Amino acid sequence: MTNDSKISLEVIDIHKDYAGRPLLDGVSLDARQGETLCLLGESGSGKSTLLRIIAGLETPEAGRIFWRGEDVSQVPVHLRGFGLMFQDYALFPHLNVYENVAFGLRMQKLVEAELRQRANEALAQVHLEDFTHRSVRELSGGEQQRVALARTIASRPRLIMLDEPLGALDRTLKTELLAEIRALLRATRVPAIYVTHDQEEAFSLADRILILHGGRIIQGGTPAQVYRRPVDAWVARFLGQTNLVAGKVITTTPLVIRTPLGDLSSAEPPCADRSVGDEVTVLLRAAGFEEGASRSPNRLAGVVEDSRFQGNDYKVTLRCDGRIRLAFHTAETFTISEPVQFSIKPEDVLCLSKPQGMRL
Amino acid sequence: MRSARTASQRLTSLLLWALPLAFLAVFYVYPLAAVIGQAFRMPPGDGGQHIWAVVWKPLRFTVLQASLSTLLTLLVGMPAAAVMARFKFPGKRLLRVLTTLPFILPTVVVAAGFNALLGPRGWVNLALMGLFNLTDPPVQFLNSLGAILLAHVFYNTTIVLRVVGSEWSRLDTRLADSARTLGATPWRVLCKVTLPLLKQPILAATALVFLFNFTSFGVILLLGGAGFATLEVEIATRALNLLDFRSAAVLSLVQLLCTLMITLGYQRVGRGRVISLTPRISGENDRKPVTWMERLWVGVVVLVVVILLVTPLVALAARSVTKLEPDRGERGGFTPRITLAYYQELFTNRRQSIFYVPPIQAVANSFLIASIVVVISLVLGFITAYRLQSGGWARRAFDVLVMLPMGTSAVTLGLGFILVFGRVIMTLGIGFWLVPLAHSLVAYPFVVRTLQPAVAAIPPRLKQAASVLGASPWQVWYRVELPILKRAAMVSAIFAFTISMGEFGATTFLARPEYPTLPVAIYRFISQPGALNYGQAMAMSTILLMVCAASIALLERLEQGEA
Repeated sequence: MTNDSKISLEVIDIHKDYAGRPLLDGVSLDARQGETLCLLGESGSGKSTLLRIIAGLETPEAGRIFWRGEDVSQVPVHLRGFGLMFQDYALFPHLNVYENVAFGLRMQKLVEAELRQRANEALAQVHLEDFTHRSVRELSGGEQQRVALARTIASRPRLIMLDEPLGALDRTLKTELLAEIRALLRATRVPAIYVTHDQEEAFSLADRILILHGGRIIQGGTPAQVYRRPVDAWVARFLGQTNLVAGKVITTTPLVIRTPLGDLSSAEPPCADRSVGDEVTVLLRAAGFEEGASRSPNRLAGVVEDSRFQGNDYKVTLRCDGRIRLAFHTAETFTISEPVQFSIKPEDVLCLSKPQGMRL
Repeated sequence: MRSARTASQRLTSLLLWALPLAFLAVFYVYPLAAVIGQAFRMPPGDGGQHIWAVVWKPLRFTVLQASLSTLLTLLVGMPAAAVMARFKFPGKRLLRVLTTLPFILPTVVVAAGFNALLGPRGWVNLALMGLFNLTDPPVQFLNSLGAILLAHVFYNTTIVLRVVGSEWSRLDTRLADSARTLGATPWRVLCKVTLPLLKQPILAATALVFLFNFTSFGVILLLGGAGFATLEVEIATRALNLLDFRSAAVLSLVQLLCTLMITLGYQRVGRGRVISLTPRISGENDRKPVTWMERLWVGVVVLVVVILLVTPLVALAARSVTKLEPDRGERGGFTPRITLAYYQELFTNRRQSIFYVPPIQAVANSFLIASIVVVISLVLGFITAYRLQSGGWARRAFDVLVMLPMGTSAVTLGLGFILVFGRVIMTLGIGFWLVPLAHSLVAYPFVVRTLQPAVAAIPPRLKQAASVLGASPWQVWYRVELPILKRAAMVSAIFAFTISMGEFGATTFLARPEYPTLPVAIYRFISQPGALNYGQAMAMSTILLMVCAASIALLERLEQGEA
């Protein structure tokens, strides 16, 4: 346990098996007051299970959960005061919209006047004031999502957890609701854990992103930190950065890596555990493309395979060295099959450690 | 901490298993074992000769009447199934509700209904006597094989209608259409395409109808009379009139083996087919009758079904409020009139009455017993339905055990109770409880069948969502699960109540003279001579009919609420 007074939730070394295999293999995390954590991982990585363990719906094989320094691992679900919004909303079919939202308040045995005020307040926050007496079965997906959200925040939990709350919705609705959720979470000022496999959702909501992979949290940090400096090739690829090339370190100061594309210089600061001869993975940032032979030491050549307009810029896919495919954002389009000379700034060349057994 | 919790959970789980298991062990397995034990207790020197003589005649008649009844039922039921599956016509919904009646009507009511229509004091005979100035009733309906067969057709047509009809309505009409385009006549389409496709439901319906006819008790006793003894009736006669428990037990054993074989046969062809109470016949494949031939066909079939189902019941209700014969000493100047005299008579305790109590007491007893049955069977049913959620071999074994009482005849059950609790029956106070316990045993499988799918259908997420919102396990059940299960619980309660109100087979064995139930009272009154006794039997049957009608109306409303 840390003595940091701002830490609200502390999850320590959670182990959980699923079908005889470790699903969570020593997960630890903490959440500070008012902070939104995004737990990002592939489907089946155990993110939802971790939420359910924190909520008390499942018992881990090992591990502890603390709230403000107090061990709550043995506290039953209904006394933990943690809110959890389920992926499929789990609205009570026998209750109308208002009674769904009021459910948690009734459990707190509030007096009727206060209960009504708080339920209506929550409904107003999700813009469902006019839906109070509707049956939840008549609602659209987006409306159901809002009811679930109102139900979760109405009882003012000390921690809010959201399990892929936008998973079932279409894109336009997603963007709209994402903004609402962000505003709501900011207003509640309690820590929130948001589980998703969609990096866009995570980037637009999170104060801090935690990436869950192989039963462990392999990287954590602000969205910018994580995106700019993925800890390994798996994270880079998971975040949609696919310009990955295997290589070997040939000098450490300055850092130069030998790859099938040629020797690439990186502007990364020297690092103690990097030595000559290390097998590494090089990530070329998609934004680091410069056409023509500039002063950059990283001069490359390729053939244009595809060029696609995507709003602000073009996404150009190049085939280099016959079989390596790289994609870049460019201001201008290129003709397909045209040979291109280009270079990458050393700042946009990252040297990542190579995960065990991973093929590029 | 964790191990302590699982230990207490295990204990709760064990206790919850224990209650229905103990109930089944004490009130089902033990009495049944007693019956089987009794059957094998051969007196020394007695070969198989005597036993064979006891068994052979009732067995032969049981098989004969069951076969004939089944054949007739198919003859009426198949055209009805075709019409219900293929045509749209006004009043179809009402007809569908009508066909629910036989599922729920007690045998005594049906028997009384046919009696009111065709019996010696029934409408038909009284009308004929009045018309032709006869002194004796011309139609000899009671105590004939025809009466038994007609009542069985009344009961079981609905099974053919449901099992075959619902499957028929789901048949792809394009199959028949393509056969027609290939040159087949409608008759050949029926024989070569439709019926072969319906083979499985037809076999299942046949097996089920045969089983019900085979174990029929009240109908045979009330309409067949002394001349016609099936295994079921013979068990009751041997045990109750002759106190020959050994022969009764042997008959029960034979009966058990037969029903077991029929049930196995049904399961082979039915493959666990579940007959829903009010199946939604999907409206896709039905159409309005177009040609006059089709209209005639639909009209005739619907008319036959309606006459079959409605006339006995209308006759019964009407007969209970009309005085058609003069009372004793009221010879001259009698005019038939509408009267509530028979109902008023239920409140008086006549000296010549066969009871120690006014007949209305039987009505009160039945309501009281039925209420107790609702409580017992729902408590046990709820526990069982929840227990059946957890998987494993115990669950599968329990699944079978729960359904066993359904395949055991009520009379066998009654005999088992007598053998095991015979002395208790004589004890005032405790003896009373045997009737509601036996009824609960009969109702229990139905309750489990209704509750279990409803319990299984509640998504676990709902319960979890409730506990995350601060609901304790008890609150989760009370505030989330119970409201969702309300409909299924109501349906089970209505079933349990109605089953208890009408139960006759087991009650014949167990009811104490001073605690008669409604069906027992009806049976005794209808067997007595005299217009007043007959009228009172009619009145009580009508009360029972009204209870059943109310049940069906409630069930329909629940069904509507669901849609």
